[in-house]
Amino acid sequence: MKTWLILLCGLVLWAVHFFVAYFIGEFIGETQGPRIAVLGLTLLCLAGVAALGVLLRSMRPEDDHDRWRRSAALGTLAISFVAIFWQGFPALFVP
Amino acid sequence: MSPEAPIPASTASWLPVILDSAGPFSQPVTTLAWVIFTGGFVILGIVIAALTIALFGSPRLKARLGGEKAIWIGGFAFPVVVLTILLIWGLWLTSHLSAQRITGDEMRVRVIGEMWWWRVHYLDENGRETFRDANELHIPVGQPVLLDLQAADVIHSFWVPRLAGKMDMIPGRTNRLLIQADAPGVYHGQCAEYCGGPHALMGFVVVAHAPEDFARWQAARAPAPAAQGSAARGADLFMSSGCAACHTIRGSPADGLAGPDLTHVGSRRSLGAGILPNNKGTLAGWIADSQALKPGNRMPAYHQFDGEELRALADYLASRQ
Amino acid sequence: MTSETGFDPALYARLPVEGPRPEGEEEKLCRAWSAPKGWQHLTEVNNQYIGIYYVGTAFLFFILAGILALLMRVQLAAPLLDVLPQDTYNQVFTMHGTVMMFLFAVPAVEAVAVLLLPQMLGARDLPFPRLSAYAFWAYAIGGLCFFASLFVGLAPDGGWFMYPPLTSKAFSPGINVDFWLLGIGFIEISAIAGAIEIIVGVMRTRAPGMSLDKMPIFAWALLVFAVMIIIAFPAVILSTLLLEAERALNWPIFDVGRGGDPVLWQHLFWFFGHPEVYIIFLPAAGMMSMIIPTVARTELVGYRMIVLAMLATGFLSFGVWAHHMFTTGMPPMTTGFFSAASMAVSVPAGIQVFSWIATYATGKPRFNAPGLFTMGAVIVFVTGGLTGVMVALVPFDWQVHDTYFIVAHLHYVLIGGMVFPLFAAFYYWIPMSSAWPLSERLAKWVFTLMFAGINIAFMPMHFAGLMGMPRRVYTYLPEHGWALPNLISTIGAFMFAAGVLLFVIDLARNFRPRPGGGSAGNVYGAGTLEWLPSDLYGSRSIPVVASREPLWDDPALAQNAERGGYFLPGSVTGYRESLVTSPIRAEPQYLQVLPGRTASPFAAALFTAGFFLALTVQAYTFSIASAILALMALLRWLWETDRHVPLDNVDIGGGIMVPANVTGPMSHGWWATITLLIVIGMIFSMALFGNAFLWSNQPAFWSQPPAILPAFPVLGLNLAAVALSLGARWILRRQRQGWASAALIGATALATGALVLEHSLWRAAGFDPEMSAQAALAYTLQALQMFILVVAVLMSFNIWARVLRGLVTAPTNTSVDVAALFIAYCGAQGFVGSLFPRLLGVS
Repeated sequence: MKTWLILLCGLVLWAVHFFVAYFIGEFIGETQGPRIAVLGLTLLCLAGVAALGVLLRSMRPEDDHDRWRRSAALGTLAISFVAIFWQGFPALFVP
Repeated sequence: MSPEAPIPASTASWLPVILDSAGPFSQPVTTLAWVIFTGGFVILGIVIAALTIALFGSPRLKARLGGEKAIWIGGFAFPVVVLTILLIWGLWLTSHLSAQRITGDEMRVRVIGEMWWWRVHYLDENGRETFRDANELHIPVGQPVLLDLQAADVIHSFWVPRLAGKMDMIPGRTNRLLIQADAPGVYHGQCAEYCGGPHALMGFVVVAHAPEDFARWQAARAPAPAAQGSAARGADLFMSSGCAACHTIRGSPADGLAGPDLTHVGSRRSLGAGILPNNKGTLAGWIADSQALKPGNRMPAYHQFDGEELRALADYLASRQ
Repeated sequence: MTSETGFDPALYARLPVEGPRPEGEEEKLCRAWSAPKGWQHLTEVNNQYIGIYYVGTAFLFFILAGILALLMRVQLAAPLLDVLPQDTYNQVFTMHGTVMMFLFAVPAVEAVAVLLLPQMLGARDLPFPRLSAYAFWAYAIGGLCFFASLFVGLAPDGGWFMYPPLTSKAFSPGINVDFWLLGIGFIEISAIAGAIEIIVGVMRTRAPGMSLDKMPIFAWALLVFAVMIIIAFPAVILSTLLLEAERALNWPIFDVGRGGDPVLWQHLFWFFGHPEVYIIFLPAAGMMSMIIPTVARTELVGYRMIVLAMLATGFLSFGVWAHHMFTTGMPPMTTGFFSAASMAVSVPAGIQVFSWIATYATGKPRFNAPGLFTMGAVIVFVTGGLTGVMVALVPFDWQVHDTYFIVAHLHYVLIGGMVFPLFAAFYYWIPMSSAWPLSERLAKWVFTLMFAGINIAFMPMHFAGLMGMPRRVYTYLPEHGWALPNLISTIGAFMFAAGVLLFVIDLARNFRPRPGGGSAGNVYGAGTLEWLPSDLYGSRSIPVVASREPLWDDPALAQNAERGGYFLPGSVTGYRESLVTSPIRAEPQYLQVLPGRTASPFAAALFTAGFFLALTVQAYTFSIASAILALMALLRWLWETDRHVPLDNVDIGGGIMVPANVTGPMSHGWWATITLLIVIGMIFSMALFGNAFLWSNQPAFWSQPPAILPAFPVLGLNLAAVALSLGARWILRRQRQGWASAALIGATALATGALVLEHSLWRAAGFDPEMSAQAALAYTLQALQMFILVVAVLMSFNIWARVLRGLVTAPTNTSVDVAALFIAYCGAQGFVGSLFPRLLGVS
């Protein structure tokens, strides 16, 4: 379980961000309030990814497997960071 | 013939229609398209070059490609930079072209997709219907036109590539689309969402007039005068043979609603929803056996008419200007 | 070294065991894994047989759907041709897409998984051999019958994504659409069965020592693939159920006149449909990542990056479904989310492509058949990927959506991302299960024709699309100027077909299937376990894995495994056996006794297919008879499972002892149950989404749902069912088998009572399923609940019968665990299903 949490934490955060943002757009609307909510959520999730990155870097791997797990997890965090960052853009472009 | 000035036939450009935009709602997309095509070719070239080096290159060049650093640069950093720029451009353009940017100065038309033709209702500024037509949309150049897009049966999609991107027509919804033509001309459109049967033959035309021509065209939307001669015989046949049960011709007893409004059918550029040129020959041919021309369409073939009757009907319809 | 299960990794040093093996050991192993004869080929469950059948059937569908493509290309070669009449063409393009996606692409990958995965992981077989046999037979029988609908003119004609209302009863009154809905729904069940098998297989049957970081990349790909299937496919199962309910029962879920919404179908379909593309691509990318290192004679560069790319793809691909819906009038911010996610999902694809290039660059690539196809795949896939980024841009998509530009894009992606890798895989792995390898000389021709063919066929389609040609047109008018690109496309399609034909000729000349290991051997010099010398039981003994390419790193490994120096060199019990290991570090946990040949999977598949097909053609008597027979076969199958092995601890080699009976969260049965519950939970969640979607999109038709307060007994009964069901495990721990089975039956009864009450509350509130989509969806939730409760009834009475026959062990028992989990889930679903629709009030 711990291994999966480490490997997937960033992506899980992306999924939370994506679906909450989508549900805001789908079920609440696209007026100013929801847009600000999406931006706030984006900043929160980006901070979350950054915090996870710091946490992972501070872990001391004991063997090859743990080292591998940590470096792969840092990679998924990088991708998640970019994906969440992009996910915030649409809230900035108001017709 | 029709009162308006002659319209240039569809401009013979060597460019594919999507890259040959004719209005402000398609022009920015064309620019975007040129940029991404160029960029796409360059990137494809880079990847093929990298693959070639990986397969045939000198050991020194190969060594540069053969590590995780190269993967991070080529597979992560480079795409992230390029895609960030593209995403911002795409999002800006989406909001820029969105029909939510209406100003209220637009001309308004409701277009309803039917299996396999288009109902066209011209609206006044308050959204009230002024008059009806089918399979052809007349607009003034230089003015944005706001389309209310609806569907009567299944999902269709309204698309005039040179004027704007497409927008689906979905039962129960009204989608809005802005189009505008900057030069007089005839612009082809076609249903873009598969709608069964002869979906392939569900086309239409948009005719853009210079403003003064458009005003003349609009003024001429009164029903044509009663038919004379052979056309009068055609009118009788039209009323007595069942045609009137499905088609409306304003100013006559025909008030059917199932098929296209034929009040001005004689002035249209095409028949059968954009698939045939409009003349007496094609009119007669369509009546006699539309199923051969557009299999599956909702109009039965009228084999019972003889040649003379078909001529009379064609005369009558051609006189409905 | 850290341990996951308490197993001491130092014990691995005892292996391989030196010295001769005991007399008769190998004979006993061979007896357990004997080859089938005659009719036994239908009842065999060994993955090496099922795998070959499976791959062959998938390839057959590739050929059949390819022939349909050629027919279409002939029709479109020039304007206004009349080769295929309109209605035939509409059936043919629908079948081409449907067969390629549902009957070729996904099954082909599962087929390769069934054939290769156990050998690659060092297992003897997949953990549920009967389930893979069932999945295969259901797919083969159902698929062939489905395809045959084309010959009687009853094939579906609504396009492979079947948008209502075109596919509703009003506009498609014939049974064509029903063929699609029931046929595809049924084949999806087979795909899900395969996915459960693969997940448990990858997680629990790896060779000892094969920790996650040493797993072959193909296994990683299959793991992500299978998890994606169990998340995505429920959406299409639910949507087919809903549309069939609308067609057969007049439940107006997609009917705007009664508060339904056709856009709901699009959301549900694409929530499945887009991940589907990555579901197809990922395993093929996994094959590429296996083949390229061998071709380049070096280890894979960026293994961990490929793994993280696959994990990222698995997630991100669930955020892109609505990019098929940019033209439905979605508001700009929402389209933006999907546009952004569509961009993001291309990043991991780029990482994989550059990893492959880096691997070529590091090694000394050979230009043999698999090599050529992988190289071609990179170029074709990148081309499709670039146009994919283009269509992720919303304004550009507004122009090219539903045109031939999209047709070109998706064929580049799927041929480059799946077909070329699969052909590389055919060349690469056929020596493993054939007497002879395929011809390298002919392969150059096959590759050249296919590579030139795809580019000549599909490159002009980009231009046809830009010229305004919509997709799914049976003909076109000459004045549009689309004739030239179409003619070129047709020529290219025939070149591609010629390449495939040459390949088939090569197969006929050189492919001689040899389950148990082809004598052609390791012709490309690969380093992974599937190239160990093998027989019907896989490798003679299961080696300890210390690296990603064990055959390269330990030259003596093959010989030591072959002489029985590693784990399980014989059969302890005399039955087929395999080793179950821990999920992260693959430490040996217990000995699993595998089932042998049995007719029940074949019979169950035959009659389930009969049930669905008879239902489609409205032969209700035959349908019910088939359902009963299928049920009997399933019960017979169930009855044979979970038999107690009269051994506690067994020596699996080198004196290392593991148990032979394991229950609870450690057992593979528990894992499979959890996976199944995720599938059911996803179907249910999709139905909840449907409720919320209509509530938000069709407020004019929404009426106040029944009040919450009167539903308290329903909620309470369901909670009691959860508690009682989980209590059955606690009771069993006190050696009361009879009471445990009574608790399970009681829990089922409580949940059933809750459902009856729930139904009567909605009826009493005046809701009728034909009245509105809101009511129809509320009753859909109840119908789903009814369906799982029927299963719960069968399960709880099965436990009771097993108790009577003394088959239920105490203090713990896997069958009881499984039933308790399932019934507890039923209670939980009943609780949520009753609460949720009541929360969606009129605002």
